[in-house]
Amino acid sequence: MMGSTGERATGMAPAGEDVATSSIARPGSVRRPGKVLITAVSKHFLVDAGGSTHRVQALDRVSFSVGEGEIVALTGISGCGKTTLLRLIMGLDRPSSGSIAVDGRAIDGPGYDRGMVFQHAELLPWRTVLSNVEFGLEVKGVPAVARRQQALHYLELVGLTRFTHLRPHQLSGGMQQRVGIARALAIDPEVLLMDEPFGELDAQTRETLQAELLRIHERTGKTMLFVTHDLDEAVLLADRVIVMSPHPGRVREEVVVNLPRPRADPVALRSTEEFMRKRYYIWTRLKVVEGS
Amino acid sequence: MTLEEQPLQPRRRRGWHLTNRYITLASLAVILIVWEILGRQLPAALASYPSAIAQAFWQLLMDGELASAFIASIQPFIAGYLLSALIGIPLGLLLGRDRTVEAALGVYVTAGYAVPLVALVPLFVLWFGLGFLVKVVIIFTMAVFPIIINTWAGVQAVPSALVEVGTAFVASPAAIMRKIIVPATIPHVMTGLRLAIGRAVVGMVVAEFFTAIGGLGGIVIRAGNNYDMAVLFVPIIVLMLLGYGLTVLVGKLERRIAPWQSGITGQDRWRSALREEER
Repeated sequence: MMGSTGERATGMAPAGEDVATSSIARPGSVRRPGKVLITAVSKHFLVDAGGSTHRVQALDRVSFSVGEGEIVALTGISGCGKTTLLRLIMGLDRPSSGSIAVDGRAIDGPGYDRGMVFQHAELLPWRTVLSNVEFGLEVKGVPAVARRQQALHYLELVGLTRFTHLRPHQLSGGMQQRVGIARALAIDPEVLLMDEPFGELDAQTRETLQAELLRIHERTGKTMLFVTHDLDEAVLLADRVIVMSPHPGRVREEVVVNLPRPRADPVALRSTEEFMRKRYYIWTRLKVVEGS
Repeated sequence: MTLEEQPLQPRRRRGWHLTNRYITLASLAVILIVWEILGRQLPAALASYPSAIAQAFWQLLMDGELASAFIASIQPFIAGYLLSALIGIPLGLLLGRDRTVEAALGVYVTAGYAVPLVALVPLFVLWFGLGFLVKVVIIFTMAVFPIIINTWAGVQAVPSALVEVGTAFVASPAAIMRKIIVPATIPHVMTGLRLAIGRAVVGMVVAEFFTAIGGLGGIVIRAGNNYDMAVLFVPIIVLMLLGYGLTVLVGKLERRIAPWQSGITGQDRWRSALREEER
């Protein structure tokens, strides 16, 4: 299973465009292959420890793909390099070897085809909510009027229309992360990359935002790749869960989650057999990783 | 939905502020009264007391001497201070951002901040004479280092995650500087500007001691030579008020252009009582 690029199914509509079809079809087969293509990516860091430099292998020949409109979760115990991998895909860092392509183009640094949601939101504290969402568009050179319009559209999508004039410190953690999601979506990226986006939130807020993200996915059909520690979250949101093993980071297994979309009722989904089975299965795979 | 409600915060804080103001006023009154009583016991050539100073103040104000001295002092002060901000802030940004510049110039800035610059005044007098220019140079030299140092430290304190946000949204280095580094550094720059006021005031007086005897420093020197202690205290009090007033002004300016900062440091934390109703 390691190094697999996943099943290849073509000719199907991306998830979210046709709700009737996608709710019947197996979600794993809805995607088009290779929206994001990660091929034999390795990454090592040189760590300076007491005068001698150590070579730390963070990722070892990681390969997988994310289909168009698909949601893929990256999970694994700490040290498995999942955040490193996400940073490589964002172009914040370069792989030591291997290649990453988005939409068939090899990536070479950050680009507007990818939108990043950071773990701690990382909003600019001097900007208002609206102006934070406009940030990417501003850098991209979108004219002021269009910028405002687009930002407001995405603020509406995350349910923050009433708070556009506030500054980040006046917001709760959940609201801050919504702004972070709106900011990433505002540049209309092909792929949304999220680094443990809800990891810092309390359980209740996290569940709210998970439901919100599913709704956003239904409405936008965006391809999403996110890192998470939370197996509930991985199974609930993702079509496929990539389980990674640490030291060095490798893909251990890809687990397809056969829960129908739209996943409008997370509470009901949590009690389905598929949810519990997959959650348990992934948990056992992580245990194996820990034991080995 | 929120678990922590803090609606009582503002009322408590405002009351606290008011009490503080009364304490400050009471402290000032006590000091003035004690000074007045003790000052009257001592010979006039060695000390003075508030009522005599007030009288001297009134006299200097009436014959126009205080105003002309103040104007003579404030002109090089403003020129030197503005110049130090104009040069210090960009230099601090550059030092914080560019490793090469930091390696090349950082050592001089650190040394320049630590060295007693007053010692250089005789040299400056040789180079720049005794006029307006030398005063500007002295004030500039005194004020520029705290501005550079604080701006420099401010750039280094910008969270790397915020810079990374810029990188992730494909911002150019210039855009990262303009849209992330500079706004994030403003609070530190303001601290530098505030510290620079005190040093610029010292620079101004020292310049007047060493150069043409004029301005507020001139009054000090002349009163000292005449053993006129009441007059001597007048420019000192003006300088105190000037330094204090400018410091308060910079603080106000800071809250004006960096309002998020007071929010983070808790000065208007009550406002964040506004919380999300998570659905």
